Amino acid sequence: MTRLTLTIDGLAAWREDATRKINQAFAHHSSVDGHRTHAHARKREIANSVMNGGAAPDAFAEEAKLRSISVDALAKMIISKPAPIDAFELERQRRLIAIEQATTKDELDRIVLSGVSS
Amino acid sequence: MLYSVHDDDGRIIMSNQVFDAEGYDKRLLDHGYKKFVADMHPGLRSHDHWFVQNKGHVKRPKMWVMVDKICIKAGGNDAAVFRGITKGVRLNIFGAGTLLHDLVMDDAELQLHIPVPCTYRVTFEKWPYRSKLFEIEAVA
Repeated sequence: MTRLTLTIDGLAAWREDATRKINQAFAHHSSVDGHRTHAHARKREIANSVMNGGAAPDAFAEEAKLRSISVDALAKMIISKPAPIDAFELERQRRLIAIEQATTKDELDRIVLSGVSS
Repeated sequence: MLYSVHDDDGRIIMSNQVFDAEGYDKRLLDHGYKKFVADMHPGLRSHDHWFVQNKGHVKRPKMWVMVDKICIKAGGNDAAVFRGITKGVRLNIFGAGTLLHDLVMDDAELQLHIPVPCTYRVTFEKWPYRSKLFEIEAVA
């Protein structure tokens, strides 16, 4: 009578599954919110250029006019805000590291179910 | 009349209770169902409990695999031991819906250690035996 001994470690498979879900959630959020993220990144580039003496493109100057502020003031306001795409990526990396460090299925579920916010 | 359409291995894939069976064989053949049997059984027969062999409905044999406990301590030396495993059975172990192990067993016994707490589903399948499912809980 032979006996097979198995040790079942589900963590590796569950981590892989959690990583896939987190990446999917962030990719989905990014695709839904893509224009805003892209526009923020582009405006930061322009704001930096303006602060360094560059000319403001028409759309940037138009936005400053709409807000009744100068082009320089708009550039300063944009630069004073955190870069959303950096914060977004940092949050994704936080989740992936938390997944690597999780030691139970419940911890992994909490990480996956904690949602995505920008 | 109970009609059961089956595959090459005798797996019932469709059952119909037909009250006016005249011409029904031809209707099945016209629809492309080449393998079927008919008998006078009232009602239907569960596909999980029956199959088709030698032109008749036959009960699927039971597997006599048993486990000594369904709740074990995770991470230690504790283990669930399965005995009476039919040779050549396919073993699947799922944890939280994820397939963790899929193998064909040659051994008659299985000793299962689980380091991470969760409820695991252990299934044994071999045609035409009825499948066996166990839920093993590993607690912290």
